[in-house]
Amino acid sequence: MNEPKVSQTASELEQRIEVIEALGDAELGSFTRWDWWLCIVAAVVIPAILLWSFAE
Amino acid sequence: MSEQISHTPAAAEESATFGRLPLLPSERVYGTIGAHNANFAYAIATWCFLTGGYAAHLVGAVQGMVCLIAGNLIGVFITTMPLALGAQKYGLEQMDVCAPSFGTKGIKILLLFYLINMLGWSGLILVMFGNGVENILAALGFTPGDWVVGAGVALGLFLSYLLVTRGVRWLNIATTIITPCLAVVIVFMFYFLFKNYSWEQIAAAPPLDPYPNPLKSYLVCVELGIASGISWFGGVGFLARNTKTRRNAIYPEILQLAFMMSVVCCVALFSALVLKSDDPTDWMIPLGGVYWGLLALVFVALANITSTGVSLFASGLAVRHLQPFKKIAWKRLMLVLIIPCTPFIFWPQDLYDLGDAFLAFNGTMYGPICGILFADYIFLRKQKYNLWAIFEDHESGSYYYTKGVNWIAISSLLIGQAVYIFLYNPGTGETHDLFFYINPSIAATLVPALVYFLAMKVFGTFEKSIAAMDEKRDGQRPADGKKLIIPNV
Repeated sequence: MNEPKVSQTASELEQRIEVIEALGDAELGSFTRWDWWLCIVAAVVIPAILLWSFAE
Repeated sequence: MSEQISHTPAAAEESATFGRLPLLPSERVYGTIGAHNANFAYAIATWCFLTGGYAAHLVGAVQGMVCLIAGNLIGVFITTMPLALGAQKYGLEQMDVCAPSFGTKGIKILLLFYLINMLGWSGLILVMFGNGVENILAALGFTPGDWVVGAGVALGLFLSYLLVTRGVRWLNIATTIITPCLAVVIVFMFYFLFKNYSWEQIAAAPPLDPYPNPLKSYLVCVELGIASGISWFGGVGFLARNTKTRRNAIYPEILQLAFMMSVVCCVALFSALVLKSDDPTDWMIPLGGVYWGLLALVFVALANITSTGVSLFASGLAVRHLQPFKKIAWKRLMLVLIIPCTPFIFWPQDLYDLGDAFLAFNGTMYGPICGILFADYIFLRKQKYNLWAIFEDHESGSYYYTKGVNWIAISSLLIGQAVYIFLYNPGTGETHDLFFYINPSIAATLVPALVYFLAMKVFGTFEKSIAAMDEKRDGQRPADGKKLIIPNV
C-alpha cells in the first residue's frame, strides 16, 4: 500500500471515529436493563434449570 | 454532529464493510428482518449436523435435546453480550473489539485461535463432503475405496478455493441459493424421520458410544452444547457490526444462532440415534430412499462447499491484521490458508473422529476470551471504549499497554485455559472430580473474568479520552491536525 493511500485511509478513519463517538441511543438503539434481564432469564437461568433437572 | 461524512467515497464504504474501518449507521444493512435472516443463514449450516452427530455418541434424544438447546443458549449468551454490543455500538470488526482488553497488538495472538477455529471447522466439513461423495458413488452402484473420502476433501478444497477467489459476490450468490436448499433438506429430514420412526422409538434409541458413567456422558454433552454456542465467537461480531440497533444485534443472535441452530442439531441428533451413525451423509438415503436421499446428499455436499468458502473468506479478512498478509494477493492468501487444511486429505477419518474434542477445544479458546471481554467491556469500562485508542499504534495509546500487548489479559487467558484442561481434557476425555460440579467452559469463562477484573483494578490504567492520550504525547501529535500518530489501519 503506498503512502498517499495510507494517509487517505487514516483521514477516513479519523472522520468516522468522530462521527461514531458522537452517536447515542437515538441513532444506535437502546438496550435497557429490562433487555438484560430478559436475556439473562431466557438464555441463562431457564437453560441452567433445565440442564440441572435433566442430569442423572 | 451529522451522521453522514461529507464525502464518503464508495471505496471507503467498501473498505469499511470488508475491512477494519468502523461502520457508520448508514452503511449497516441489517434491520430486524435482515438480522434474523442473516443469523438464520449462518445458523443452519452443515456444522449443526456434526454437532448433533457427536451428541448422539453420548446421550439419548431427550437429554441430548436439553443439552444442545440449553447449552447453546448459554454459550451464545456468553459470546454475544460483550462482543455484539461492542461491535454494534462502534461498528467494529470483532478483533478490534478485543483490542481494549488485549492490546492493539495483543489481538494478533487471538487471531491464532480464530484461525484454528475457522480452519478446523473447514476441515471437518470437508470430510463430510468427502463422505458425501463416497455415499453418492455407493448409491449410484459404484464400490468406492477408502481413498475416495480424502480425494473428496481435496476436491472440496479446490471448489472452495474457486468460490472464494471469485469474490464476495459469488460467495453471496452461492450462499443465497444453498441456504434455502439446506433448509428444505432439514425439513425433509424432519418429515421422513417422523414418518419412519415414532417419537417413542427415537426417545428409546441408545447413545452410540457413551462413557460407562451416564452422568459423565451427560455433562460432556452439556459441555458440547455450551462450547458449540461459544464457538460462534468467530461470527457474532461481523453480524452485530452490520445491525442498525442494539436489540437487532442481540436478539436475532440468541434466537437464531442459539435456538434455531439447536433445533437443527436435534434433527441431526435424532437421525444419528435411530440410524446408528454420526456421519450425516449416512442418514439421507436410509431416511428418504435413493431418489430423495441422493438429492438431499447433493445439497448437503454443496452446502459444505459454501460453508468452507465462508470460513476461508472470513479467515482471509482476519489475517489481514498481520503484516506479512496485508499486501499479499487474495488468491495467494487463500492458497496459504488452504495449507493447514491439507492434513484432512490424508487422515480424513482420524481427524473427523476428533471433532467432538475440537468442539470442546473451542471452549478452552473462546470461553476465557469471552470472560475477559465481559469483565472489561461490561463491568470495567461500563460499555465505553476509546475508539481512537483502538486504532492507535503509538505508545501513548490507551490500549497500547506494554509494546501493544496487555499481559494481564493474556495471563488471564492462559489461566482460563489451564482451568479448562484441569477440569476436562478434551484430547483424552479425562475429567477431574470437580467436573461433576462445574462446567469447564463456564469455569474457563468466570475464572479469567474475575482474575482480569481484579488485576486491572489493581494494575490497569483507564484513560477515557483522546485528551488523556494527548497528555502522554509531549507534542508528538502530528502537525497537520490529525489525531492519530500511528494509525494501525
